[in-house]
Amino acid sequence: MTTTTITDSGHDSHHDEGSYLTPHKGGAFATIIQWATTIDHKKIGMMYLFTVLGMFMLGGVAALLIRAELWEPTRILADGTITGQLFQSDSTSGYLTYNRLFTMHGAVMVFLVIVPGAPATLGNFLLPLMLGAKDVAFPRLNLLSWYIYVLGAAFAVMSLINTGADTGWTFYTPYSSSHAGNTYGNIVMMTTAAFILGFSSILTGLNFIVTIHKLRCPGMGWFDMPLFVWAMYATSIIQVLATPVIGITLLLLIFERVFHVGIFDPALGGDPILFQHFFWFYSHPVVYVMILPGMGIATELIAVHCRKPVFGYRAIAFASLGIAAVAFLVWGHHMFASMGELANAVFSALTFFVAIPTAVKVFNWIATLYKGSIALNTPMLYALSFLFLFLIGGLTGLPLATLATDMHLHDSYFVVAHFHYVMMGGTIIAFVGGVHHWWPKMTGKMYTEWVGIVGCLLVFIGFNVTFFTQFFLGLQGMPRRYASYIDEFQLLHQISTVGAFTLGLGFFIQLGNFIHSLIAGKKAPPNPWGGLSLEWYIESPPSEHNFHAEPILTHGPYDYEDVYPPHCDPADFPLPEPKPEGNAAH
Amino acid sequence: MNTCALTLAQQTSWLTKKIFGAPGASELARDSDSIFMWIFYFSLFWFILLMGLMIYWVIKYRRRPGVPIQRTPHHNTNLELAWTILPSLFLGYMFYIGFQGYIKQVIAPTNAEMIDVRGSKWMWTITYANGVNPPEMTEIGGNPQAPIIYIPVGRPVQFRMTSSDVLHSFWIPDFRFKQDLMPNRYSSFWIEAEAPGDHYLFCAEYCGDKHSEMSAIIRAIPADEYDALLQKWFDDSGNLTPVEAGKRLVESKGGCIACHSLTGAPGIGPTWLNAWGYEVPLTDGTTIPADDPDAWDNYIRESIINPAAKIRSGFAPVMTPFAGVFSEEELDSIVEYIKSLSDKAPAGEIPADDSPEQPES
Repeated sequence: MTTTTITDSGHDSHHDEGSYLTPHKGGAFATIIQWATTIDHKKIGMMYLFTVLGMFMLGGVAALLIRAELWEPTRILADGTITGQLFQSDSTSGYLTYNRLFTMHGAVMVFLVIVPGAPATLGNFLLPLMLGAKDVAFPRLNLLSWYIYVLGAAFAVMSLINTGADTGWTFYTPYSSSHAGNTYGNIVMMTTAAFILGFSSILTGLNFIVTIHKLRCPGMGWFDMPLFVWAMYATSIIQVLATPVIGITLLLLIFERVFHVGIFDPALGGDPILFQHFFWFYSHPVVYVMILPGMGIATELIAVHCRKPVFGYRAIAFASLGIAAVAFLVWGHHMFASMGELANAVFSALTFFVAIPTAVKVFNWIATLYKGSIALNTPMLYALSFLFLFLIGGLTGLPLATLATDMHLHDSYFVVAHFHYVMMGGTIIAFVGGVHHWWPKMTGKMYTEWVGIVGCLLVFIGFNVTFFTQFFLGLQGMPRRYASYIDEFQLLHQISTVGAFTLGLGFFIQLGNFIHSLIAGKKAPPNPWGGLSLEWYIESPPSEHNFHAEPILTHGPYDYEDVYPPHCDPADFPLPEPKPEGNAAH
Repeated sequence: MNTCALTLAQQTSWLTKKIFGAPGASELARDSDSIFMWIFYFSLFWFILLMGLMIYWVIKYRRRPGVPIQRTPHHNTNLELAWTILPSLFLGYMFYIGFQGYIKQVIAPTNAEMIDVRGSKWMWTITYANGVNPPEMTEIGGNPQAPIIYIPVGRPVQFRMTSSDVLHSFWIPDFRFKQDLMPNRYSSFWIEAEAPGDHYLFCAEYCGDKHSEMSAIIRAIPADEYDALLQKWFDDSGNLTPVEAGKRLVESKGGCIACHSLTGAPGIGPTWLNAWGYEVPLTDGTTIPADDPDAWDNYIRESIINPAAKIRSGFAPVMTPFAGVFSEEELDSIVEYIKSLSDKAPAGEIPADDSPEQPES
């Protein structure tokens, strides 16, 4: 690769035209209309960001309420008084309120936060910028997908107001199709929400696949794309192929519940295990819809803040695709306690295959640190937290894939801890790190660095206190989805609850930091971190049409050894000695 | 089992005990623990190696003004192949020991004693080979009516399990195994206790409102005591009055008292205290008339077999149908028992509680 820079001629002279955030000249109302009808991927990405953050707060409050309830086990004394119960459920409904809370937490976090989170917010905002495009391939479809998301979120919130579903986010039959719920409509409403959200997911995936195929700028081959884009590509493939299955499954569930058509309920001639196969055929691949973008974000963060070419670029790119492919073959490991021995053996073996590309990525990330120039700022601390937490999440998946040990750990708190380490420690931590990393680009404002670091440390400590404890709870016999428990588990539960509120405080500080940044943050330079991918070539925040002229790519996204980052003082980012002639390092 | 892993785990049984809280209650359970510990040490090795490198490099290569990065190869095929293939071999081995252990866990000895388990919301119904249900109960974590399931020491026991309604899961943490119960098929689970002692049983598959209270005690006792106990229950069951038989059925086989109180306290289902013979409004607007013995007997009978047929006002249609669970004779006993709990019970019948007897009006 040569050391020439990207052509984006004369953008300084265009500063007067304003950014995509510049309000409409017609006033507040016109600005709202402008945003509501926008087909600009950046505005849509920002609208997704704020709706997803709102849903994240809803799911987070539910999580804190769950942890608060578990501070003390519920006991009904001889005289009928109830102790240790936060939510005074009337005795005719058992632990209905708690059951609704964990259902809401799971459904909101999965369907409304983690699945759309990184692709629809950062993906929408960054994909065209990283590819050097004006927009995604189908801008109107992009806006439609946001409206579908809002409609799905509205159904979910309506279900909550209408007392909420109490099935768990997995909607297992026959409980969900015939038994659950005191109100008839709430489960139908919640499943309808998930059904609608599926369309949003499919449209985003489709849009990204076409965008990546068709809208790469001149000079950008497949292996010149940032690895975040590769992760988005693998994510989109899964979204398009897997999401229709959950749509059909939830529709069948609604049919069984409303019209009593026997599909999953044995009382009507159906089979409940069929539902589990359908459900996990979607929901396992979707685990990778959740984690692949997190991996992509982490890759970018590590490369930029270490100023190092990513070690084994192709290995990481192909590992993303490998994960997407194997993702479709391992759903049965969610059903080891309900399938036969042969199926269990096959799915256990296949599950180990998915560990391999994941391990390869971790090795590559760590190797990228070697002989870099590592800045310990907020985004990088999040990236390092991601490595730490995701590694624990991945390694604790091993005893769950191993049959002999899973038969004990299945459906216990060990599983709860494992998937929180992957989904939250992996995806959410990478996502929040990514929001910090691209916040100056998205808003044109800097946040306060030390507050970001304090928040990150609180999140990291709180997270580990909350969930590492839960590994021991699971190993010692604490089942999932229990509103109460035996006395032996109380100490561990209380430690976990303290951790959860520390974690909550950390996120609250981050939120305050962002709000402060929006109101009083310093103006962000175009390239505060010295990044080399195309989004750092343009202003912060970008103008309406991103690039002032079509960029022509002349270097790779990670050529930190040879290229000075744009808009930066070269003295801040010194290059190593030019490489000796004839020594092909690339 | 893999002897190397076993030795390793035995050497560090202190850590194993810390991690699991209590040692496994059978050889298979301890095998499972040693496989876990093998994976634990494998994971610990990689975790310390990778995080050690990360922290070391982050400190060593932290950004210093004016100091450039150093040029290093962008990839290294041999290194990358090594770190792909080497862990893969370990993963293959991990699958193999897990599979071996699992096959031992699921294949029951042919001489195992069969015990029937029926899961329903929110109780376990146990039926021994001689047809009796264990009548004893204890308190577990706020559930005062958890059954005690006796098993013999030193004799393999196989549970043949099914569900009456939704999915449940039979988990005995001390034995490191669980198996789901499904409403349309049998599943099975076997254990062999080594020593007398109590072990928790939890429902591990979410099943609704009182999922957290669906627990029991598995109590291992010497085999001769176990045989004598089962024989005693069998002999007792022949000498009961209908009211006594009904009381035993609703407590053990039916588990009805998980939802229906006998004290007038509210519950998921209507209380049975002073229910029989009183006027009761239904959700469809009709009522079960007061002082009509036939109507009341039929209402109780129907509500056991097909609970959704008539729902009492103020209650949700959540009860599991018990069609086929009770014999006709048993249904008679349950009706007699519920009748005996009412102060409207006909003269000559002694109420089971201490409420004053009233003549028939």
